[in-house]
Amino acid sequence: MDNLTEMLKGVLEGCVLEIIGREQTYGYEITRRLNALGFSDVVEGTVYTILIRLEKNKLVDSEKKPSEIGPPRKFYTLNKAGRKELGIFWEKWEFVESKIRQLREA
Amino acid sequence: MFKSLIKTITGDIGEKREYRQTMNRFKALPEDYRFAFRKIHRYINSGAAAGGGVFTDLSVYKNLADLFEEAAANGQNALDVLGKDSAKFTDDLILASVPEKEAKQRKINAEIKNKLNKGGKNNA
Repeated sequence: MDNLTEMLKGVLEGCVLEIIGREQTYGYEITRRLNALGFSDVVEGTVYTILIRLEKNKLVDSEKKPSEIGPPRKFYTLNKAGRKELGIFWEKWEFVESKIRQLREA
Repeated sequence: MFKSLIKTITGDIGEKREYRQTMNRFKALPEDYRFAFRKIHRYINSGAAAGGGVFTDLSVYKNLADLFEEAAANGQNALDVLGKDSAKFTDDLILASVPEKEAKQRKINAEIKNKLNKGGKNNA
């Protein structure tokens, strides 16, 4: 689906946290996973910016690993603060989702 | 007096070298990335981007170079990486790279400077 950028704005960061929380991963892989989910408009640049912010806010740790092609690649893992933030994100999401569903079904 | 003078000179030289090194990373990239970089660089220098101007710390450009180098190595083209709104991407990258307070401060400073400089030389 197209043109979801505005609606996804608050949510993408949480999605990225969730994906990182599953296993250590890197930007390109995260982007592909979001695309595979159906968010075709999400590009590397978007994910990359989110990762920079997450690292700045100390929610993820990063490790540079050599790569066969090109420069060393940054791999990300979720840390304790990140897990807590992820938990809060899902709480907020559940709340919003249930309220909007109520609105629709009222 | 000499201590601070020397620090000023060597500090400047170090910064200039780092600046050049970072900018050279873009020169080594494929044409579409070089083009994208020039546009983004111009956008940032115009003062229209988030933060209002050029930054003394190179983190924005270092982050951009990291992204471009990895994507180019993956065989992607610049448009796939930047998406439809390069200006918005640049704004977001700046806000993510530079402490937000600093970005806002710079924007206000740039706006005030521009307002008071009206009719004067454009030094963007």
